[in-house]
Amino acid sequence: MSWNWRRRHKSWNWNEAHELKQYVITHYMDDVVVSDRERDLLRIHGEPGTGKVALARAFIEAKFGVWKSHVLPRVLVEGQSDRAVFELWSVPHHGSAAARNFVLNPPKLAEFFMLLLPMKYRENLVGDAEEEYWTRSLPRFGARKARLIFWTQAIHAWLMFLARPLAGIAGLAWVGKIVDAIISKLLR
Amino acid sequence: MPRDSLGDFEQLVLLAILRLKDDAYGLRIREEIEDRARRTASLGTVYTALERLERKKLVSSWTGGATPERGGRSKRFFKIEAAGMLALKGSLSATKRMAAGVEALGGGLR
Repeated sequence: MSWNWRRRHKSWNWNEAHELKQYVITHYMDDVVVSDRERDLLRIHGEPGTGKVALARAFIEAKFGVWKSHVLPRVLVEGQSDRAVFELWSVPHHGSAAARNFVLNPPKLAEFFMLLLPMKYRENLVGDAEEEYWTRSLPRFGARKARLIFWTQAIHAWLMFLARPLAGIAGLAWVGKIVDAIISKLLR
Repeated sequence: MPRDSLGDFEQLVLLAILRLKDDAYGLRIREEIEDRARRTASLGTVYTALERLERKKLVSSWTGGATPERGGRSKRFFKIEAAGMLALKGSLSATKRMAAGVEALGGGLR
């Protein structure tokens, strides 16, 4: 793994670090994200196993993407007992197309499809899906997979609704089974 | 099948509501089923079952508070009704009676 990123690219953009810090704070993580300007390190304090570091990591991935050819700061994880270099983050340069296209929010289109469901409690269903996205999927799996899980939830909700009226159509049950299998594999 | 008989997933949903007490809303119910029954279910499956149970008047629901991580959308909490308790007990004891004495199950369910 190359450590000469300092020479090839500009160092960590401190507005970005600040944004990350704000994000972490707004999501009820009072552990502070300390940006060590002197050494171009982004330090994340967090108890091991709390998922806070993973959430911050998901944020970075979602915002900047993960690419081999571009590099940004090292991220240190400081736990109770250990202090380890977690990973050398490879991210596209700020302002690149990949960075502009970042998405952290759950997919709006999937949300829209869920809101079209002729179900009494569709609003609550979408709320639950969002809660799962922010508090479970995103910290655990990262943005890309979390969005995929959100989509499978939307598709499955529609399949469940259509299951009875379309029960006679050959193959539909298989579609449901395939989506079930995808969900269980994603959540594993 | 009698009109009020429960499917196996409905049984799991009712048991999850009982276990969760005041915290029984869609996502938690699904997680409880996954953790305890080791059965994967989507939120759509859970809500479809909950709406069905409510139509049968086996559960009732009320709206809870909204939180930012839910995109400002409120939670819907569920509570089991007396008819639901009755249906659940009936369904579980029917399963037990059917299993009693079946050798392949080691003499029945405990």
